[in-house]
Amino acid sequence: MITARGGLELKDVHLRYGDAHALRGISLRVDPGEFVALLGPSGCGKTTLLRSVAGFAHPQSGHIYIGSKDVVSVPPRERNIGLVFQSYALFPHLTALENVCFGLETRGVNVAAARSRANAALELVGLTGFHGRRPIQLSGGQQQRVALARAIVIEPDILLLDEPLAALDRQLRVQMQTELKSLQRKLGVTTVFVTHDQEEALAMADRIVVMRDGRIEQVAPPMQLFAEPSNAWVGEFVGAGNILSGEIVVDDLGPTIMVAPNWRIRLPNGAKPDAGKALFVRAEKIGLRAPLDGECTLRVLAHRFLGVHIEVHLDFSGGTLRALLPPEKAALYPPNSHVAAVIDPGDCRLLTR
Amino acid sequence: MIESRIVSVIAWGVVVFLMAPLIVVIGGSFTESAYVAFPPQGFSLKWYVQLLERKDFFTSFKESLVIGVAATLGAVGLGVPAAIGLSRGPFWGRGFLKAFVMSPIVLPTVITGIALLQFYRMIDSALPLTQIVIGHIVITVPYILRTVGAGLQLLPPNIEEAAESLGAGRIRTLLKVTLPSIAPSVLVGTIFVFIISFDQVTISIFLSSADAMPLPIRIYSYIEFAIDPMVAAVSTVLILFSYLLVVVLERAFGLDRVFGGGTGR
Repeated sequence: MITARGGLELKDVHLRYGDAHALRGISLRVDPGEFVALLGPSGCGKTTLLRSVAGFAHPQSGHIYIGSKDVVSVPPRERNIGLVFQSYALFPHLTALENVCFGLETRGVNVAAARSRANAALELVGLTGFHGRRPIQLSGGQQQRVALARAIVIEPDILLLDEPLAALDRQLRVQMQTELKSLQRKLGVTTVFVTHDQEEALAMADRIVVMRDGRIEQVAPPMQLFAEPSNAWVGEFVGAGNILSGEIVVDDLGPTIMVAPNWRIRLPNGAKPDAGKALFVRAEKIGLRAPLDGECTLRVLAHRFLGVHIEVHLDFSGGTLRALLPPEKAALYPPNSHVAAVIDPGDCRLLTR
Repeated sequence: MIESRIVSVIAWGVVVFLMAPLIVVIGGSFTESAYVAFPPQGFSLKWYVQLLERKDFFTSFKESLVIGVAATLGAVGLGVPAAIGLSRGPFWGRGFLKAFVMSPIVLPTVITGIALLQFYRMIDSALPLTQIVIGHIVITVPYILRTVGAGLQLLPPNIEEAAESLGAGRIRTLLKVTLPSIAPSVLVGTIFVFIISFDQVTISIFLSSADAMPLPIRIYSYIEFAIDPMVAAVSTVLILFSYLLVVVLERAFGLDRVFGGGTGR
């Protein structure tokens, strides 16, 4: 089953539903065997993009290549795609095994061969001993595995997953993330995964496509996306990023950004001090200490306990900040106390608003 | 404790309330007297013997069966595709179409009966059985739409898209996925339709004639002249017939599954 199949390429794909512009010129290249996550808030177009690749949404212009074939006018049943829905969409009247056999039967595979391949696929997804059960008799996680087996048994060119783990409880979801990822590696199938859960995207994808309002904001591997967001919106959306804006003022030592009348932060080395830019700094990079006289003070609004860290919400004359601190540090600054923030310019990035 | 006792008293009360008339009818059919008496006076099968000699009742029973089966086939044949069609996304005139096919359930059946009678007069129809069958189809299609429509709504979303992504064309998807998935609700609808048709008085009374007289109308016209225990005997036979039907369905499909919504997720 291990085969290097074709990749996926989209060129300037536009799609409107009446007045609503769901996709505004999407161009994207997914390499053979790559695992790409489409990440964005609801309504950003990520599901529409996935459905366009599957053939259930119809772009008005642009090209979609699976392998080297432009499939824009090819009906879904001829695209050789494996599709897993959030609702699993299992056939309720068929058993687990029959569900998996369905795609093989439509391809004219004889019954005996279909059964043995379906069995192999069910084993691959870690579901054995439930072959004769109907979907209603299976748990959510088991249904998920049947849906996955049904999608991969046909050896699709592209595997498309539409929030497949969203309906599972957290523990199972994390386990499935790991399994799904290693299964995808083993099969080497080009995979596009839609999610609104950035943790999931960071954990699984080779590259993440961040979408907003029908456009792609950034495409990057998870760590790079986390460290180097391409603009302020991505910085805020992915992870707990802080955006600080203010006038850029150049003094003797170089350019600074004035985030409050009595607080200037030096710009990172090499940053171009253009107007219309904002300073981005990750929450875990912000340190707190007791304020000095005349220094800009921040008020602690609230603590939010996240397990390993406490997220400290702060506000000051120039806006709000979130800092991630270990609990023993956060305990020094209870709500309503006043603090000063320490930000190292080396941890900052200047981003377009 | 007390609560559950109250519940069981109420439950038994309902059972008695529903069963008592049946018991009176069944008991009364075995009476020796010339009128329906309960408890029966003596024990006799003479009213059953008399019923066997009534060819007209037997003919009516056969007609009711034929009408019931034909009306069921017609209502299912029209109703299932209509339900599938109406469940598909908004299209122009969908609301009107839905209201139109559902209207017989809202209109008093008497009005539908009169309208059909007038219509058949106008076109000078001379197909007595067919007329009744069509009448029954008109009033039973809404029941199919209701049950099958509900079955379609309970299906997991996207199953047809899933089938298509797996390489199935529209016809294969319809035959292998959509129809089998809604089979339980189609079966429920079928049972409703047959019962409604077999038991139908209002429509049939307008459309029946000497050439086509379903059993309920035959019984009705008989008791206009005489209420003797033979009517109780016919009723007993019908009760037995319904009971056997239920037993067969139970054996074949399991009524719990059928009425318990076997399509749930």
